[in-house]
Amino acid sequence: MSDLPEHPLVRLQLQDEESKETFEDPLGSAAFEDPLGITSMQDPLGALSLQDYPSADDTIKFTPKLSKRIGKHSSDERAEAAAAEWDAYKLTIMQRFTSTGTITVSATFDILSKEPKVRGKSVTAAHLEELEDPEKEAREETKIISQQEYVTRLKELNEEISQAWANNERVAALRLSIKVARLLSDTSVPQFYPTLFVLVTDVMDTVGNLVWNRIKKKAEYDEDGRLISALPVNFTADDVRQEAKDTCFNWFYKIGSIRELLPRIYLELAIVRCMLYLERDPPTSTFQRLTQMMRGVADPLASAYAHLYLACRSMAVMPLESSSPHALNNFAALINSLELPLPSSLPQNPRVYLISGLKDYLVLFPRLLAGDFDSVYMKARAGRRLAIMLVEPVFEWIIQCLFKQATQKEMAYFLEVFGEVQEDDNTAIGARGSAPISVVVHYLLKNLPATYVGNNALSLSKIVKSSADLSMPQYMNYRLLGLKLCECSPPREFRFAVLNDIWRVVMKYSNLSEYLSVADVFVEYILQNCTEAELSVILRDIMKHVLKGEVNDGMLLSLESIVFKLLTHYTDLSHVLTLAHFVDILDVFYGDTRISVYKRILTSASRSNQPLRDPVTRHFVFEAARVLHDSLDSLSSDDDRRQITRLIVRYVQLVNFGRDLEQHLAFLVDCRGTFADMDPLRVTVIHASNRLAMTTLRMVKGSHNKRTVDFVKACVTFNEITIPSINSVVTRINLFLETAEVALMNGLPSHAESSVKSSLTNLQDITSKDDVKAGGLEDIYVFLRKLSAFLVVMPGHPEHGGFYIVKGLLNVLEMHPWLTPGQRRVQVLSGVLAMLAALAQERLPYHVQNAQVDSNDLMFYGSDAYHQELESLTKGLIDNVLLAADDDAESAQEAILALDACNAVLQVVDLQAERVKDTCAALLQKASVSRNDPYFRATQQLCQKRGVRLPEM
Amino acid sequence: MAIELRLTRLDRVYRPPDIMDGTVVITTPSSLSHQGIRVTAAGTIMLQLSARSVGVFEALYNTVKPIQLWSKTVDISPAGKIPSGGLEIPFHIYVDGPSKSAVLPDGSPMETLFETYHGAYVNIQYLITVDVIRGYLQKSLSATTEFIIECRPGRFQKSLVVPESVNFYITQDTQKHALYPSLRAGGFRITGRIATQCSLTEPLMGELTVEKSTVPIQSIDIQLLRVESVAAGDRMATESSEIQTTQIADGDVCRGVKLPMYIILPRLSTCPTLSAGAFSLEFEISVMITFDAGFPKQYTHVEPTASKELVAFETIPLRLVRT
Repeated sequence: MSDLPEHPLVRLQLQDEESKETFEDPLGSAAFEDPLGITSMQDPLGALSLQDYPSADDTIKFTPKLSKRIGKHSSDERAEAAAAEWDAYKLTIMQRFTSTGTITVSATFDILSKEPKVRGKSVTAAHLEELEDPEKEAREETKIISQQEYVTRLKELNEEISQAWANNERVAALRLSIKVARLLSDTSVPQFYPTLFVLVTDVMDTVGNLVWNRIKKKAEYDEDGRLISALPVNFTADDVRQEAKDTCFNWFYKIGSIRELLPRIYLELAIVRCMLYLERDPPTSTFQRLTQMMRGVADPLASAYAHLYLACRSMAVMPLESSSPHALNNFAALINSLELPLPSSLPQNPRVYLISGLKDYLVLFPRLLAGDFDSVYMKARAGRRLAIMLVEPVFEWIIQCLFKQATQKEMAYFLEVFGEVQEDDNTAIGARGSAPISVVVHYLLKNLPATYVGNNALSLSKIVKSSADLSMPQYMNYRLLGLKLCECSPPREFRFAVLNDIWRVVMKYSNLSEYLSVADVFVEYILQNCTEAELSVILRDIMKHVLKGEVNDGMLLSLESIVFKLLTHYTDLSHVLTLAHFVDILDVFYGDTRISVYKRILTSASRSNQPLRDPVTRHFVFEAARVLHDSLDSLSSDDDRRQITRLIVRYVQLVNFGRDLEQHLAFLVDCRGTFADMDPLRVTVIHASNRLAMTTLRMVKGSHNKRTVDFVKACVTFNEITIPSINSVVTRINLFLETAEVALMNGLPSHAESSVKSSLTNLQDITSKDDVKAGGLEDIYVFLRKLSAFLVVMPGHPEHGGFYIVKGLLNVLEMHPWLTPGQRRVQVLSGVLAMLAALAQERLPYHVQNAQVDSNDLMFYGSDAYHQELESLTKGLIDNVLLAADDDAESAQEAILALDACNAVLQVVDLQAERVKDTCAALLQKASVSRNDPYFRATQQLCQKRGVRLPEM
Repeated sequence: MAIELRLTRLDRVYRPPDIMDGTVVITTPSSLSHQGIRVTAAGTIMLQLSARSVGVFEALYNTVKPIQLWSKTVDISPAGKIPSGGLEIPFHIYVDGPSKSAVLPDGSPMETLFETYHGAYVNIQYLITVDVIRGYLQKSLSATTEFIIECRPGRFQKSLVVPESVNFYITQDTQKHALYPSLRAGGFRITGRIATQCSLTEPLMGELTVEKSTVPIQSIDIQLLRVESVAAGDRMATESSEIQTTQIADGDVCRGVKLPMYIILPRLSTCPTLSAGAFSLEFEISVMITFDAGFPKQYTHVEPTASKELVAFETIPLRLVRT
């Protein structure tokens, strides 16, 4: 209670006000539970009127006449929308600048301490005390509290003000809020200032709303609390009763009499919305005056945040577009009075006072940049850099406000005001205030639409060039400019000029990380707009810088992004690799970034899906793949492993040596050696080598010469060596079979035989059902059927007879029943049976397409021993089949088994022997459980065709 | 038993010739007899001599008696009874010019009613009182409330009041008092322009520029002063005192930037500039620049003169008019 009450006149006036208000307002006690506040929130009319203009934005554009009404209409809604936006922004401010620690509070801010101050100490007593201990005063004057306490106390104050108001102590509430606003004059702990600002403006908003609602109530109710008439949603000053206006004037008088500048500004801003009760037009002139008053706030931090609050309040109060014709007429006068440069064309933005405010602040701000206030902030152990950072959100918000619904002309005007280099500034600050301030340039750029930036790229780059101060590193601006230019290219004729202009500055950067982050963006720009010549120039420049500087992880990220851009832009990997300096740049990478870049390169190789013919590319990618492979260790995640494996496999598949098959094989050998412990890769390599063999065969048109035979042998041998190192049995046996097929087709029966033998040996390795994975048995079944088919053309062994392999197969099946469980056994045996039947024919149903390879029909047909053996094998096999068919107990399953067996027998056996017919009949009988099955009927018909007598069923 | 005076105009401002109307509201639990109800409106000037200008004793003994400017009495009810529950009696009083008999202390007749003014040595106050006259030994009932007189803006046509303003400048050489050495050595120059005639309903406007100052500025304040003169014997005792201080700059502001002055004149504490022989009311504006020589706070506390040495000021007369 320091200032106001001491002043006799002010007290008189305030008391007068107090008594008057209590006199007039018997309902005052209900002010807190303002029924109006609630009704205005749920106002059905308001909601309806909103619906009437569902797309307010569009309406404004097309019907300028309506805009006035809408502008007025949404007074409340605008305030609410602005408040919501503001809340979000406040939160970001709080989060951006959190600080901990203590604050020294001087005694003048006594509202922060809760203990009542000892009053009435006589002056002499105090003076005596002081003489005794001169330091005492100094010690007592300050008080250290933690920031948390500070925050809590301010929140309490906010409550107290609402409480006081509710208790009809409006003057007390006002006094409290003045004191709260006064806290903002104290910038001694800069880090805390943004938080403080948010807390104080919360209080200000509370006061503003309380006053607004009170006057609204005055306007709608008479002294006895009877409703006169509710104010329309889009009321103007003409609808407001004189009594309400008087109260409103009183508030402005009260606030006008506050002595200190800063609290006066804040409180007037808090209640400025009430001007709507007094004046028809939006209170442009009030904002203009308040903006000018802020020139008197010399502290850069306090001034900045005052401007911020003004911008925020104006969002809540002022319509976005000029709402009345007067405003337009007054505009020239306004510009004049604000001492702004007259725009070439008059923009209609009624919020030009924001421009002038910012302009004013830009007189003060360079002093902060130049270090005029360093001594102030040094006391709080805060550097100049921090202070500049603390001011940044102010620029961000104000410029954002300026750009709301701004037209092209207005934007041009903003640039004119803030971007022009003023050469002949003859004021006292001219010496250092001549260049545009980079933080302003930054946020201008940020808010300008990309198309605008594109069209004015040259002038913007000049602005950025001329603004190089502490407030925002220049490279950030160049980066932003680059990003915008990538979004929308400048006109063709300027593209090169813009780049030149920018690069002339950037190439002189000595800070590598700044340089790279700009280069990153402009590589994209060049890719979009320029030729490869420029690209190679910039790549060379990048390389030059990289070589000069120390590269760290952060810079690698920029470089990585550059590489990614190149890889994305060019689909052809070999083209990228031939770009000058690209490979040099790649060499700079290390660690994780290198892995990710190489991954990207492999991805790019596989994505193109083109065969890799270029030796340089092939080699390069191979190296990349090797690095990737080597990066895997026991700690790598499965995902990583799988991804890298897939990439390498794809690469190996795409490699193409054209006609140089031998080199291809050598490459495969290399791969096998380099990428050890990757099963999928081995599989790929084997497939590739098989393909090589077949390609050779095709190239020699089926007849090998000495050299090609050797090569094919090499391929097959390569496979035979490679396959055993694969983990999965199923894969192994299939690959062996494949190799055997290839070998046989290439006229290498002995190789084929050994491959098949290897696969059988591998099958024997499975010692129990549990050795194979789920689904493995199914694969084995498929393999066995396939093998049976292959054995038809596989020539027999010259010494061990025609059925050497077949016997081996049957042996395996016999010894390892778990390979073919249940039904599968019948089916596999049926397959073998079919194979034997084929072998019994004079001419085999199919042959290997190689004249040099004879099958069994040519080798053994006509040989009795061969036929006897065939017969005995068949007999044994049929028994086996029948046995297998008997095996299963379950009836439905059994029926199918029986049918399977019956079919197999029927198909292969010449039905002369009665015994066979009986067997078939018995099987059919057994299968009769499922007689309605189509399979059963088909089998039945087949039996009848083949002359089997069917028992009655 | 309570009595209340309600004026119809909520702002209680009357501009003679004007009609003041309102209601007397009496609430009483039981009926009440009286000998008439009377409403009196009166205006008085209270003058006081400043102890500083005339001395303590003279100030005590020479107190000027209150001068009645104007008075009107209206009987709103003859003797009778107020029924239990209460009564509301409307009234109206014609507020015209000063009564013929009213003369100023120096003997000259008054042309018009002075405006309400509350000052340190001069007070012009208008009160309206309602009295329920009752016999002796009975508690009389009365209520008083202040109302405000403002002149009709007749004498000055709004359009005729041209905003007069004056340019001023403050340098180390314009200061008559001792300045802090470094302040005088370093020098400063503050220029500005301020209105010298101002309508009471309009804010006082002006602007100010710090052109040069080597010593940082702590604060720039605009003081609104009243200069009250009261005749004491054969001479005038003049005293000026502060009405309101408004800060327009906080801290070391930028040089060469125009700072606006925008001062809302407090009501009641200001009135049109007035000179009436026995007393006069004038106003002044003082532009005060406080410099910051970087002293610790205790220093100025211990050496009160030091703080004075850090202030430069310029005082400019201000003419207030009613428009």
